[in-house]
Amino acid sequence: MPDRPKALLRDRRSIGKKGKVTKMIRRRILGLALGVFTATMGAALTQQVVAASSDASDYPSKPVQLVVPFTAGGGTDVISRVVATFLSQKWGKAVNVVNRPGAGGATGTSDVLKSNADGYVALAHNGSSTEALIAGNTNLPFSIRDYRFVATVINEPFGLLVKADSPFKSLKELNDWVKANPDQLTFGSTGPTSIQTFTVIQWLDSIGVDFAKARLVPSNGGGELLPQIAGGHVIVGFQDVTGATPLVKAGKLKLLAVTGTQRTSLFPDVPTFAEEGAPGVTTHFWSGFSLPAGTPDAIAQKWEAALKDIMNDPAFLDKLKSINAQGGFLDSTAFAQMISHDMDTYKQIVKDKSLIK
Amino acid sequence: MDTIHLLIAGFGSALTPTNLMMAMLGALIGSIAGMIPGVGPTPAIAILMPLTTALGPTQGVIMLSGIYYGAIYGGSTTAILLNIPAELQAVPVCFDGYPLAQQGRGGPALGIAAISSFVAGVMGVIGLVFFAPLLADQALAFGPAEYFALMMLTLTVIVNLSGNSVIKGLIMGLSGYLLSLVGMGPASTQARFTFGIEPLTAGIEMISVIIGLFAIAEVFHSFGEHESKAPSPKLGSVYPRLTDLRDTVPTMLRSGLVGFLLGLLPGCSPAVSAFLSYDLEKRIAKKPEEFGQGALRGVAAPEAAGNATCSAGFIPLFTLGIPSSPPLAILLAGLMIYGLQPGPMLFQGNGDFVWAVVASMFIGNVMLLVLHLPLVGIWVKLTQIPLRILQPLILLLCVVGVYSVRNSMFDVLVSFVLGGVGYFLKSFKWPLVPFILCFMLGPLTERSFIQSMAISDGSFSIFVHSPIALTILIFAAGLFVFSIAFMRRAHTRRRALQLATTE
Repeated sequence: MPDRPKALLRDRRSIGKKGKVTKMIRRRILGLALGVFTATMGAALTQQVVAASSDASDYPSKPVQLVVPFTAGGGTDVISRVVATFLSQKWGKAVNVVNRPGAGGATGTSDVLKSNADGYVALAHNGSSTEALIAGNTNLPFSIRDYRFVATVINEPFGLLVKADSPFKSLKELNDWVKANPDQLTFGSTGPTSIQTFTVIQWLDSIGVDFAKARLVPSNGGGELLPQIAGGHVIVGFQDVTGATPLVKAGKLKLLAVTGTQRTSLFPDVPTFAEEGAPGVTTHFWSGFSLPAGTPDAIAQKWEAALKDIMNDPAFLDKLKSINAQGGFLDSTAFAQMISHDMDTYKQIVKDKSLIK
Repeated sequence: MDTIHLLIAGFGSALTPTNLMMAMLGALIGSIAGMIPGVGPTPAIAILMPLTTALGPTQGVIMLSGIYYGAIYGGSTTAILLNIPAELQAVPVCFDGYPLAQQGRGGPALGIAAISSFVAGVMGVIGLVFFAPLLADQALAFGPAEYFALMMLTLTVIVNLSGNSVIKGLIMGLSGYLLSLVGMGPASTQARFTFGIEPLTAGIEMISVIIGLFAIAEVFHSFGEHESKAPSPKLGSVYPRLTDLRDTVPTMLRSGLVGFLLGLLPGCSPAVSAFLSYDLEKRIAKKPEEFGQGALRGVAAPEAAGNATCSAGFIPLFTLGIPSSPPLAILLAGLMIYGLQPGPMLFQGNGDFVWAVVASMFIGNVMLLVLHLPLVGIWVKLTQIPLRILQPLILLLCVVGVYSVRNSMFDVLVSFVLGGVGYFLKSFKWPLVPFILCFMLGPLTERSFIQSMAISDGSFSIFVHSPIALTILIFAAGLFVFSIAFMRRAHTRRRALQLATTE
């Protein structure tokens, strides 16, 4: 911004050096440009006034952008693509998935939350790019108040994974070993303030092991982490059950327990942490959709209703099944409550273990 | 035997006229997407996936694999004809492809590239059908320490690709590494070298660097060239000669094997195998001085290796559900939506569908060859377009390509800045390849090093205890010393020759 006046000055100086004719031509071009500019602005303004005054009955009247703040191919990306297809069919307008990855999801999230709150730019997100990101970073250009939470479509536990031929046959055996050798434990995680790290902290706290002794092996996601566990390079890792399913079914990974209180339908024999006496291990994986704060209520409600309908559509549930995902619908109120509850938990962990300096 | 029976049945369902159409359409769309700098396979598959869902499983999957193979192959067309690599793995294809195009041998170069791509693709499919579960297990033995060793080996390529000065090559390599550090560090949430500029926290995108240094710099460079010096005054013969084929087939097979084996490792970039196999071919060649001047083997090697790596990626993808690259991740998503369940039970559980997919991959490769050999004549004519029309067109495509990767105007800006830098580096004969190589390998090397250190609790013994890592590291060190010594000798010999001629 501060560059602009300087640039103008430079322009004026260069005009001064040129002949009168060029000056006139320049002025004429400038005038023309100005005219075009005002005309477009005027048109844009009227359009905006019309949009703001109308209710959501004609929404969407143009294609909607659904921003995924991750690279293509991840869990939330895939879900978003499926949901986008269903929404497009429902609304008769294209819902285009746009990947805008970077900085752990902050880049895309910030872009959406700063955009016009007119419902035409929406955000697909999950715990990593929301609660964990905000709890673990002090200098983000957005906060929890900049969201208009709409609904979640996926909610499932994280699974504690070891390699298939590891000596640990149950969570208890692993716990005993970790208690005896806390400085031998390596775990994979995307960073010191990622959900995986928070989960490891909750788990180690539950068995009274000092987290500071365990060693974090940084990875850039499940695609890298899971083979490292399967190959015996890293001892444990937490991954959303959907992401871990192929390698568990392939007999390369063993699922010892899942977080939370409910068993997963994908592996009904695997106990929960709560059943194993660790109710404090509560992290979970969700994927959901939000709009920038200030989006008209009618539009946000239209989104929420559409997502609710999709969650009751057998065709959609079939798709979820084929990608091993577990549906989990939370409406806007429950969604916002869940976020604020998770935020408190994660912030407390960050504070207790002084994860950020 | 059962396998072959099932494969034949798979071909039966893949070979209907509609399915053939889909394969052809996919290969065509894919190769056009692949030619546009920066677009490549990931966006092509991502954009077209919703379209294929309307087609039904078999047709949809056939089209998707056509797009995938097409997009991988497409990158070499612009690399050869215009010296513009659309993807990193196409960079080594430029080394010899562009000189060939300038000599009027662009047609044979494209033909060899298409055949190499076909050979590599078929090798990948054969590997998938017969050795998949066996090979996937081996790949898991590769942990951080082994990856670190592999990165070291790849870095030795710099010596051979530095032109006439290793010092210049190392300086460029270090600069590339420094640039790659910008953004979030691998183990911390600390931003590095961002100087308070917010978009830099997301790091500098690889495509911006490639397009900037190679494509945009090339266009800037050609601004200075006179119209009469247009790349290819004559077309020459469009198809490769039989002797060309005889010379390059061993290269294709060797590089295909190298690329295939590296492709089994989840996360190994096709660019790594493209660079490594180019280097390998140059080393074992009887006349290494021909490389870089327009050797067909220099086109065949990176093309076959890069594509074999991409095809081999299907093995960890299908048997373990591990996608080794972004396009494969999105392809996996597509396949799973159609009901494919990756894992060792894949071939038992999904039966007919899987065999149809495998057959369609094979057909996709054949289609690519069938489609591109006749098209070579048309592509070669690209070079006949006057520069004043071609240049703005290329710049436009560059902007679109760079922007589309992350939908970021900042990336476009970065690519133009690097275009300017690349122009000057090129003018003063500084090698760009070490720069891009280190830019790619820097973060991978750093991450695998930090991972190794975390696993070993800070002890370097991890590199000695792993037999795989130790072997690769010793080999890399040997290669490095040997290359330097070899270059020294060549240098003194050249000197002596120069002295002799001046006297």
